Amino acid sequence: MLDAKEDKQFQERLKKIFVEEAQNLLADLEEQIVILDPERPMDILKEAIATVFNVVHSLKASTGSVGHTRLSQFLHSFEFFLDDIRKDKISINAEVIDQIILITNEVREGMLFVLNNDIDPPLEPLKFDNVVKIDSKKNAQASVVEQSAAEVTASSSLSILDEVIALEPLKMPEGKLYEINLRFGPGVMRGGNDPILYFKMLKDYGEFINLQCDSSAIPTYSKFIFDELYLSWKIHYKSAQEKKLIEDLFVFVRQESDIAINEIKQEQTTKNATATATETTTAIEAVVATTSSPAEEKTPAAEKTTTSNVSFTSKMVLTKAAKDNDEAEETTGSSSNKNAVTSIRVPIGKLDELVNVVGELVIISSQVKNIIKEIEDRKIKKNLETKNEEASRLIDDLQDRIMNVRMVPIDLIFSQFYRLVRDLSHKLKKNIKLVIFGQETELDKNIIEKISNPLKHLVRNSIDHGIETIEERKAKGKSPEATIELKAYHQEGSIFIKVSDDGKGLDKERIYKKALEKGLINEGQNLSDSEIYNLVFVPGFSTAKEVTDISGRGVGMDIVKKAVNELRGDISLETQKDIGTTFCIRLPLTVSIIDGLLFQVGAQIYIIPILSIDETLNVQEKQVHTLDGNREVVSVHGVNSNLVRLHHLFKIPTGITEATKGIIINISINGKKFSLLADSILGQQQTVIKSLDKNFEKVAGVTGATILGNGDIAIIVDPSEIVELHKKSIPYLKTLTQKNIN
Amino acid sequence: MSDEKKNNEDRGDIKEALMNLLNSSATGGNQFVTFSIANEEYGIEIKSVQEIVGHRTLTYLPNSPRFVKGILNLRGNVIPVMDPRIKFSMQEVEYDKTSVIIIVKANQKNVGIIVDQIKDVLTIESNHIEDAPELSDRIDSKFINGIGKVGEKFVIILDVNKIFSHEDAQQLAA
Repeated sequence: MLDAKEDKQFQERLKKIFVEEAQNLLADLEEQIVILDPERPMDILKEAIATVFNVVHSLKASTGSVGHTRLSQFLHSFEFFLDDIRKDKISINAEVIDQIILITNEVREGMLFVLNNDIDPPLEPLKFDNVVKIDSKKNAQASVVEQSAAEVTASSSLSILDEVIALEPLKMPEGKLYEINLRFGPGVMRGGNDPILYFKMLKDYGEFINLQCDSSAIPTYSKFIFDELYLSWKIHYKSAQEKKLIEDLFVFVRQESDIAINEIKQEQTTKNATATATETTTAIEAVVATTSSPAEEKTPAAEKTTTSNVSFTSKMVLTKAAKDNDEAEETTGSSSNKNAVTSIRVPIGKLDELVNVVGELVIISSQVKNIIKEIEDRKIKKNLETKNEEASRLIDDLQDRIMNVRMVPIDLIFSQFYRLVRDLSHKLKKNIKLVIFGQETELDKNIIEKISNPLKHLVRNSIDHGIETIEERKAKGKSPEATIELKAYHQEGSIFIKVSDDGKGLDKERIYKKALEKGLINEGQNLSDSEIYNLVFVPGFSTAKEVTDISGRGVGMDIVKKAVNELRGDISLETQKDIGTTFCIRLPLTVSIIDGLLFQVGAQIYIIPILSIDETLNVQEKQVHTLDGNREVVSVHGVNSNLVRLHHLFKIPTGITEATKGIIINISINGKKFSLLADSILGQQQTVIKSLDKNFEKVAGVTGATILGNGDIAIIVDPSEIVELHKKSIPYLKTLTQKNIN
Repeated sequence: MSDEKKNNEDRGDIKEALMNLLNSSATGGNQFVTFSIANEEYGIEIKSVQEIVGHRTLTYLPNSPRFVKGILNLRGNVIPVMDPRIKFSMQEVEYDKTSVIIIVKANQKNVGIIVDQIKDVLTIESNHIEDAPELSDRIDSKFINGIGKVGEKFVIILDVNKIFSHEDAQQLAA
């Protein structure tokens, strides 16, 4: 369990992550909206809608994870709508597209509202009839009557009462204008006084012009006391009554409260009136904690609880509120905008450009060095040499720093999971402990951004489907407390992220049956256990019995796999009945930089990731054997490893074809050893991967290319793909494997 | 020797003139950069031409289609370079000093094409361009956009997207 201080920090961090993520997702959403034009061809529209669906899905998850239940529910309903379109249940026409754009705008405004005010916006889940009809304004209006905010912790049987004070659109009443600051004592409700009563009384004697609620005093949930009042209000109020009478309204609470009533003089009044008149603020909703009727609701997300809500009846106001946030902050004096981000988003392309420029600098610096050698004046030569060395040191430093900009610790996403696991386990009445290892492991920002959602899917999936209920666990003789483990580490030039649970494991029979039903496999098809388990990664497969907001609706493992593959990684799983399931994601360290070993084959230079290398060595004749007639192996320290002739594999003419004359680079792939034969080794260097797909396409066995100090290009090889190529290209290995099968 | 030098200078002049043209006329509706391969004149729409560089040693790319002669470094960008002779099933030749690499934008990608010699920049009105013949004895007509007539000579206008199309690349790699 986290203590209160840690918890606070943790909440702050969560919020920060949420804001960054939400901003990115919003940007994605914007891009798609531009595409949505009924004039465009259907396939483009469909693709855009599918993307909007995915973004909405992610937004739903992240808003849910920081406790913005209403927004999350709103998104959930939108997702349903999109899903129907995606599945062709609703055909795409201009009207539907208009609806999507309309709702998307609302999502955007809702999100902006959250980002600026850090409170759940007043949105209600959309209701769709078979014929899609929504009047967004009406919808927003209805949302004033809140239904979802009433939540309370399990420890007490108290509920939070919602009450709404609706205000008429502005018409200036006769009388004096007052500014009332209400700061009731924190224990006011324990004395049986409900602030709402005072608002009602005030309403009997006059009219509200403007009302602002300051909710900044609400503590984190662990410090939240249910019958304590944390809200204060600032009211512009117009009444024909004298100040004295208004003051008297508060006579019972004046002692413990801080209540200030000031009359605003006439010239101020006009000024104020014009200021307020421009606003269309028409309703204020105050949800106040109070000790009344018991309720059984207990949504864990509400622990943090939105005890206060300022909501507006019209969606225009919502936007306006978001925009005018700075103003609002001034008047309330609250610090509601805690989400100011101190980092900036930079397109990765700009970093690449920087790296290119630095690369050019390196080349020029080495050329200067050569020129200096030809200088005859010893003094000038010496000075120039010193200065040039300094310059190249700075260039190296610059290069390192640029590279470093991209790297961020995986903690950035791991830490979100405490909340997710805690909330979900409460919701599903499961007892789950989250254990995290290796959160300091650094990954490329690009990868971090793209791996976050797949990981969330995996964790949700484990909680939802993997881990049994407390009763089931007890019945099986397992500890009632389940464990989910998140682990990240470096190995063999890659980053590994493992998501493990000690749940029931995958159900082989059910997967097989399901795959059969879905037509993914044929009747009677013989599959190994691991082949069956891997069916979960096939598109269209999802074992969830029903749609829940926890692990989505079949947007499951196939999306996870796709996302991982796009990062040049792969995913595998291990599972054992009643022991648990482990998903293992292998990712490249970075999408763009590797520490490489430079070696030569023929006339060209190649690079292999250093981290994939076990050792490099020269071998003697007696260490090289031919097995099974034609399989060449190298025996090192008594272990045989397959010889991979790179010159043969790459079809490069070279003078060195004897294993004893070249150099052997030993690598391990999936626990098996391979010996790559190269001509010679040239050294090691940090290199920037230039993708070939950008101007060409993916080439088997090749990760990309890099530009060396002298401007030449070196090819970066992918060790595991080389091994695959080797297996395919050598006929004797093929026959060998066939023999084994037979 | 002097001939070769002159030749180089000429080429330099054309290149310079061409680059000026490339920089000045962004539109160039019916302008074509022409070049020769095996004494035949070909043209590429000027708007797809990005740059022209002299021939240089290329880095061989393993496991790539045979018509990809390698990759080159153009100010930090890796660009694949193809030899149209292989694509058009012509006899391959040694590259010499007049060989030039034209960097074109095809299918949103920057690729290089090795040609024997850069010739000219010509304006060919569309009414002077005939459809590609069904059968051509020299190259596959699917790579041809049309035949342009300039005075007495003919220019084969190539479709850059097709000569570097992805499907083809895959087929050849297989």
